[in-house]
Amino acid sequence: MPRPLEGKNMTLREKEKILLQKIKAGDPTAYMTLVSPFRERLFRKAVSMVKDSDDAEDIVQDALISGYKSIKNFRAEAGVYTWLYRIVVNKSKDLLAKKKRGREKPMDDTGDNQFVDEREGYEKKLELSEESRYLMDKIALLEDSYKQVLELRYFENLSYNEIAEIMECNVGTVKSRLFKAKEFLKHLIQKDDKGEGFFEK
Amino acid sequence: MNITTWLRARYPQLFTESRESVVIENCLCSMFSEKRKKEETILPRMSDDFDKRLMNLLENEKIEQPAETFSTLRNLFENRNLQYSFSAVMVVTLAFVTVSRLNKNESTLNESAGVVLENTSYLNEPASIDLSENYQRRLLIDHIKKEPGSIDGLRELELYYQKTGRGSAANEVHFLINEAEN
Repeated sequence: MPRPLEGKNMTLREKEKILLQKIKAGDPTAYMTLVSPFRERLFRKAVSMVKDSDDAEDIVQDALISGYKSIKNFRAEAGVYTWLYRIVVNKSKDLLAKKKRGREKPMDDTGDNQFVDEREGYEKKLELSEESRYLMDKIALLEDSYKQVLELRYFENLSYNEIAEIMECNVGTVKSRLFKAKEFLKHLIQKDDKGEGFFEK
Repeated sequence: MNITTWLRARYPQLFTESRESVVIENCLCSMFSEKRKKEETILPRMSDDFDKRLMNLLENEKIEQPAETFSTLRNLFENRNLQYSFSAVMVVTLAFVTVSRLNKNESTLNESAGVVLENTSYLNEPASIDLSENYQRRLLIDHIKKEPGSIDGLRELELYYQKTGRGSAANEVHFLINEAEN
């Protein structure tokens, strides 16, 4: 089980540095301590992408093992969460692509069709307020890069630097994508009849 | 993207936000916050033995060694201090060159009489004397006055300089002729 790091006056960065030294020396317990605060968040991200808790758990497990094995490639200035987040997202995308390929192949009625049902079930369970649902539908109409930047900023509460690291671009690009995403969203709402009165609050 | 949009995107603090932008910002915050809370309640939890399982797997895994040359090169190029040092050196060099260019006080000897050999050393002799120096000017003009034939020689020289496009030298010679004749 991960154990808390001693030394209360240490900053998070200092603790991370000490843990990284231990991990690089081959201490898996230190690695568990380093990643334990992010496990659940990573799991939730994987579930939100693959819509299946077993798959999501496998993805997080694989991602954490990959992270451990390639810890020497981890740059100290990068954030641990953003680094693992990228691995989880890539693995989730791989799995989704694999499942999509599987669905495209001729098959009988059982098996992968269940995946579609689970996905729909998840969406239904997420009962948001009318206004939030409306906004979410509008966000769904945006390009992937705009959807991603909005999610990273407002859902994951990440800084511009962290978003830039995940999206593999510079901070300026993040700012302009975020700005454009909001502008497009504003435009979509303004030209929509249902959006009348949205800005009159 | 026009310049105003670009500036608004990069430096939003410089612009006042429209009412619509503020509403969108607030709605995004509250919607994602609501989504996060709802997801926490409906999304499944990780299994209890996840840590134990992961720990067992990690104990059998070995940390991969990055390729030596690649990592050395990457460390070198990604070293922030090294990057800042290079930038600082370039800025200092640029400042030095700019200052040197702007404060160019040394006199330029565009025209010279060539070199003379003195005590086995070559000296670059200027073609003209400093006519702003009274003493030198007086000495030279007195010398020309004593040798009237030299004025003809100087006229030839002035003509030659004019033909060859060396206007400043021609003016100097003309000035000397005028001084000597008056």
